[in-house]
Amino acid sequence: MDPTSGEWDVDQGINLALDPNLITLPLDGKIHSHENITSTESESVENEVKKEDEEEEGTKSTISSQPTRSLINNPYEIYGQMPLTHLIPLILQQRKIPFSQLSEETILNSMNENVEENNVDIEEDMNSIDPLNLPLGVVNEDVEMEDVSNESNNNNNNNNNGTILSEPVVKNETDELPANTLRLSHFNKIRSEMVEQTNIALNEASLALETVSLLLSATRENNAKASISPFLKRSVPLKSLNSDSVPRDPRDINDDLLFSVGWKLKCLDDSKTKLKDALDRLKFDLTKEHTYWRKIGKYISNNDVLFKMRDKSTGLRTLAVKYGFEDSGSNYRHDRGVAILRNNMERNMLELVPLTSGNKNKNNNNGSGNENKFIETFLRVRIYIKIESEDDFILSGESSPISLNEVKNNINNDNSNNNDDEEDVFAHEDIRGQIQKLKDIIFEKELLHQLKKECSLLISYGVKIENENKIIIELPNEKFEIELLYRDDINLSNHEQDAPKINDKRANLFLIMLRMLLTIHFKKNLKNRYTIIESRRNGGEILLVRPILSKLRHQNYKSLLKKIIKDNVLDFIPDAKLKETALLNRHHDSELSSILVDRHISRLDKEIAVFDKLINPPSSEFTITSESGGILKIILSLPNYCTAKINIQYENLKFANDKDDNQRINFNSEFSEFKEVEEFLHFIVSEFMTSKS
Amino acid sequence: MQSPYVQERLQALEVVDLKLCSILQEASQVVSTFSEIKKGNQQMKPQFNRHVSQLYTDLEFVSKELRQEIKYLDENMGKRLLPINNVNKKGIHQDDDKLKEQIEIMEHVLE
Repeated sequence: MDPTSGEWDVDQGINLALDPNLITLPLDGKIHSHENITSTESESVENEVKKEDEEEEGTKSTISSQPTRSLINNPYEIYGQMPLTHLIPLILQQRKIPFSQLSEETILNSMNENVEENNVDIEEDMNSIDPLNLPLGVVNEDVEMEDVSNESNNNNNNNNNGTILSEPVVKNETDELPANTLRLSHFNKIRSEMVEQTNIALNEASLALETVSLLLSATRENNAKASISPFLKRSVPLKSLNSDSVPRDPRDINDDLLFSVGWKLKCLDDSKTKLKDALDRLKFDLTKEHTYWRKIGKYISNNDVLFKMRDKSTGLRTLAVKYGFEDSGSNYRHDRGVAILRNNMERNMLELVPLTSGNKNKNNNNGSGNENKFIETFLRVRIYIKIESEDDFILSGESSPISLNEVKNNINNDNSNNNDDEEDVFAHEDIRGQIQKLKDIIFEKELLHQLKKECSLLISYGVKIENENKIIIELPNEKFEIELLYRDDINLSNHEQDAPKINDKRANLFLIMLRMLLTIHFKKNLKNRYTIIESRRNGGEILLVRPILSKLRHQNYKSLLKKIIKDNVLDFIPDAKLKETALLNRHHDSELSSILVDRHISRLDKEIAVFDKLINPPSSEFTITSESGGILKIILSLPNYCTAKINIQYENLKFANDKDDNQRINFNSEFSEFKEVEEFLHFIVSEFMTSKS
Repeated sequence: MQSPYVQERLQALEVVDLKLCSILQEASQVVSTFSEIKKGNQQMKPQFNRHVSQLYTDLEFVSKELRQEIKYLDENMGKRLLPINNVNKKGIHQDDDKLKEQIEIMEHVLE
């Protein structure tokens, strides 16, 4: 190697002992120059050695990870990248040996020699490098130039690079071109890679910091706040992450077993007590149920109507009794007559609790008192007689509340004792008595209801509804008062002590009559309900007061009529005979016979027919016969139960046998005024019956 | 007052109820003796056996009796008994009762 080349080398290139890929150098010229100074030929010898190594390895492949630092002259790179086809001629040239002599051994030997030479003589080294320096020189020159431009003008660095790099490619060996360009692009790539990696590392670090901060926040919130990122603070609540290390002692297997055995034993004991509790509860319920059913069996007969119902106050399902008369033909809707059979545990007795829609019942339910539960009501009839002189009425009779029990017991006991029994019906567990009482109460209530309904139409006949519970029927000489009373009324007891009066019996009968008529009304309703053909005309009518009223009025009319007859007829005709007959008009019979009916219906009809005499308005016929004057018939009837209709028929028997109709005298007239009757009778008697005499 | 037959049936059902109760009792006894045995009290074993056998006897009795009662029910359905749900029983003769009662009272009054 000639000194010029070494000098040239020093001026224009840098010989590096180390592969610059392994170290990073600051890109400034100072170090460069320093290296220029420090770099000696020995370094280049080392370079040479490495190059030789590389040459051998170069057979494998070209190295991809090439440093792209164009500022540094690195012969290792040049040769390392060289394809084998270029490298071998180079070696041959350097060794000055023919290709045939080229072998691994020779190269190794020469390398060893080189090392030794290195130690002995630097000059020798220089020579060995010399052939290399020639091509390298071009490269170094390029690099140096680039270096210079870098130092002088950083801005134009890239441009200079491009131009300068392209020149030597043309000038020198084509091998160096890919090596050079790769170096640059690779640098950029690696730089970006590095930035990327740095970013990743930064991210990892901050993630770790976040995790630690969040963990820390569980115990030391303030410390965590200092390091936690605002984003995490916003999105994740503090103290939400925690970690505890639970030291787990290695447990004995026997312990586990004992533990589970203990649990199982405890479970057994618990199930035992649970069963015991259930047993007690069940026993309690059973005794309740048993007494309930025993009582039901004891008190409820087959004639009672029982049905299942839910007790609204307790919410339990119970049985209820229907005691109302709805099924027997009642149309009473204010009280359906239903009572719940409730088992009262507190008093250990079966209770009959009537269900009524009225407010009274609600109040009664609140009040626990037994006497409030049933307000016993009954009707009372009072009869007043008019005192002519004073134009006032005095009480002449009063019905007394009699029940069937009283009637039966009356034979043996006193009345006072019976009354005590009556009041105790609801205190004791006498369901039968209670049902009976409820039936009575509802019946009386309905009776008054129906009476009021009927009486509202009879206002023109002296019947008026005084108040909610009182009806007054006024007749010329007496007055009837029907009133609904409560058992606990105080004035009642006073009256019960009163001495019996003349009309007490009549009042009682009056009341009994009303009740009977109501049952007949039921029967009619029932019949209408089950027969379609039957006209509803009669069934719809309520006949309670009117039949009685018609009887009374009829009686009055009759006496009046009798007086008229006596004054106008009998007094004038001495031989006249008066015959009085009561007429029965059975309009039911005609209907009955024409319709073929069910046997139950016909039984109903028969039962109703029994009361025909009672129900139908009475009428009476007066027949006056005289030997000379013919027959005079006067019929008194009350077609609408209240107003009188007088039919007068007269037939003169004197001409009865005459063929000449003109001679016969016949009258058939109807009157509603007694004044007219009087006049007409007077006329007949004077004109025909007494004319002869 | 219900017929003696009905009373008898009610009585029989009561007995069944009580037996069911005693089954429960036996069950609790069985469990308790079992737990005693498991606790190591081996003397309870005969008791345990007794309770178990008693439980089964009761169970047998109940099932037998119930079967019997169901048989009675089936036999009498439609004759002596009517299902309370399906039959709409009507208290149709209440008015007659009332009428009779009133007639009796009337007789009493007229005496």
